[in-house]
Amino acid sequence: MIDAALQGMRMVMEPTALLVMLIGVLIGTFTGAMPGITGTITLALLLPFAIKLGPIEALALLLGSHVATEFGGSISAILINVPGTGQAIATCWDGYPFARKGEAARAISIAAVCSGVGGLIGFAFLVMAIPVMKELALLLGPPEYFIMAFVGVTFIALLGEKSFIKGLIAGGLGLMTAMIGLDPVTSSARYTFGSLYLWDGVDLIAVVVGFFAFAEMLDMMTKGLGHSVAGGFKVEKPWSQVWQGFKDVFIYWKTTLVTSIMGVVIGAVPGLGGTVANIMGYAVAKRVSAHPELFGTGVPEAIIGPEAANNSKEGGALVPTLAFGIPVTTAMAIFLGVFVMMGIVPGPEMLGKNLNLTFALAWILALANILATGIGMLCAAGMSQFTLVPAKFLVPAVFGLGAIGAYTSSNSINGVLVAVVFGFVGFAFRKFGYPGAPFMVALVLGTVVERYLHLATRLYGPLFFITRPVALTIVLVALGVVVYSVVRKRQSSMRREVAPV
Amino acid sequence: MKRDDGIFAALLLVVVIGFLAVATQLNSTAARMPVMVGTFTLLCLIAYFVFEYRQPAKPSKKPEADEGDEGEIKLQWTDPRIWGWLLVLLVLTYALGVIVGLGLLTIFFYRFAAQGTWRGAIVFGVLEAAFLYVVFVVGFQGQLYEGLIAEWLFAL
Repeated sequence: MIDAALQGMRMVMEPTALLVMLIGVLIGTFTGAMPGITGTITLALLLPFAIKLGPIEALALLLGSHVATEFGGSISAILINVPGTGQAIATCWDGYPFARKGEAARAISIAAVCSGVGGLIGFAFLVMAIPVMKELALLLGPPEYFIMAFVGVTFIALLGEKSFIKGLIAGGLGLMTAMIGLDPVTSSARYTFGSLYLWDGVDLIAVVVGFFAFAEMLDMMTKGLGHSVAGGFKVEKPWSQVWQGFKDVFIYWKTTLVTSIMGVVIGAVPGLGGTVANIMGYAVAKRVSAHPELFGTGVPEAIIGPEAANNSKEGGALVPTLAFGIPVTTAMAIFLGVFVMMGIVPGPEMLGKNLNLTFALAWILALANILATGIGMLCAAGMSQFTLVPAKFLVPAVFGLGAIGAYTSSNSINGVLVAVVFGFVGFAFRKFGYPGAPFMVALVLGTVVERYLHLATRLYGPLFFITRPVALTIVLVALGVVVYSVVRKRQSSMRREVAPV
Repeated sequence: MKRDDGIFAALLLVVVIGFLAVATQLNSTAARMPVMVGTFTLLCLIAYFVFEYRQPAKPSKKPEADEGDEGEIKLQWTDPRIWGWLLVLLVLTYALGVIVGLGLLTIFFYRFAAQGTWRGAIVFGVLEAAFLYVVFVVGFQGQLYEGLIAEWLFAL
């Protein structure tokens, strides 16, 4: 095994492979920051070039760009509140408040470093997990996946925000929005009002563009068009901010570690993917934090959680792809296609005859993460100046980028309509104090919840959460956490009421 | 503000009732999740009216000082000059397509909302449209929407 690991490393350390990987990382960072151009689109665009290269160079280009898009998506999320990819949705929630305080360089540095650390944890998992993966896959089934997704929705609604009820209403509205489209079991149309566009449900990128970016621009306009993202704050000592961001990731090491491990597990589960990893990373970071009430105001842990999780998930996603030939995400399906085009058969051969190739992939994953981190840290100080641009320039630019992102993600002009509608919804949510996070979490997890609920009830009956020991354990732990959180919140509010006396 | 809050919650209540009404028209399997979710949200909204809306309003905080030009007019959130720009965006992109529509939006916004000069507005609008064209059409070989007017003209 060590021989195969060393052989894999030698294959990746060839100058051409390293150069191609660097190009991939640069392209991925740029496209990731462009709203609407997802990691999958980047992979599809690079594919014609990749197949002309050798197997290692091709995988270095594709995996390098794919890893970098994960970080690239956080750049526009932090600077203009528009997630470059769906996998940076939760990064907006505290990344943008950082920019508003004049600390965008720190936020980008945090995103770059924790993406790298998360990716390296994913790499370690990939190396270690292959022998035990089969047993783990047998332990978890639809009931457990349903409960995990449902718990994710309720946690984010219950924890943190000022009003529990408004959090729950926002979560409920998010779930209702997720019901738009074809029913996953009977394929009958629900809430589509005769529109074919809505058969696939509302486009997530379009909703995010409207709900966060457009709503934010409307909010900025109420403050005056001389206002900038950083407001009255100045971008001071950007290089010190970059260093502080680097340190933050290790100061909050517990958050980095826990969310990275969670990301790896989510990555290995079919059908969840990067957006779920990003949002669950936020929820778990909030859970682990000593001051969850500050989430949403710009705290380092709230960037560490989603970014570490969405990068570490690549290691997890590669395990079933390589070991069983089961691609768990669209990007992994493209990788699988590349393997087949190059005559590599995923499955048991990857753990035997082609073990060196498996290790080469793991090394590419690790090196691409390190490269993306370096590039991110070098560019963070310069990019932070963007937050000083006044609204009169920023508003039309964000409207333009957002609209084109909403259009390209579904290749339909209806995406712009959806973005505008959710722009009004997001603006109203802000004005009346409804939190945005539960809405978005519920929207993302809604389809997952429904799919696994159907499967669980079909396979194990309506009492599946009692009859399955693992599912029952998750339910009991979740109930315990909810009760503890409610009690803690009530105690702290009672303390606040007593304090002035 | 509290009255507006109540109106918004009432509006949400109407949406949820409508959502549940549509769910009753679906087959039982397709309706199961929407009925669960709709009922849950309805109960939460009722709880909001019973427990939160009836409580006396807390004194509002002093508004934060904002940066901006001296003497700049701060608009109310309900002002059509704020949210109307989203409608302009929608109309222009549907009518003239993504690139031309967004370029024109930028020109109009810079000229009328930001009170800039026509020359600055045109330069800014053309630059934005050119950037979007180079990245999304030339770079990524994307086929962007050309608008209802172009479709109509081609059909002639």
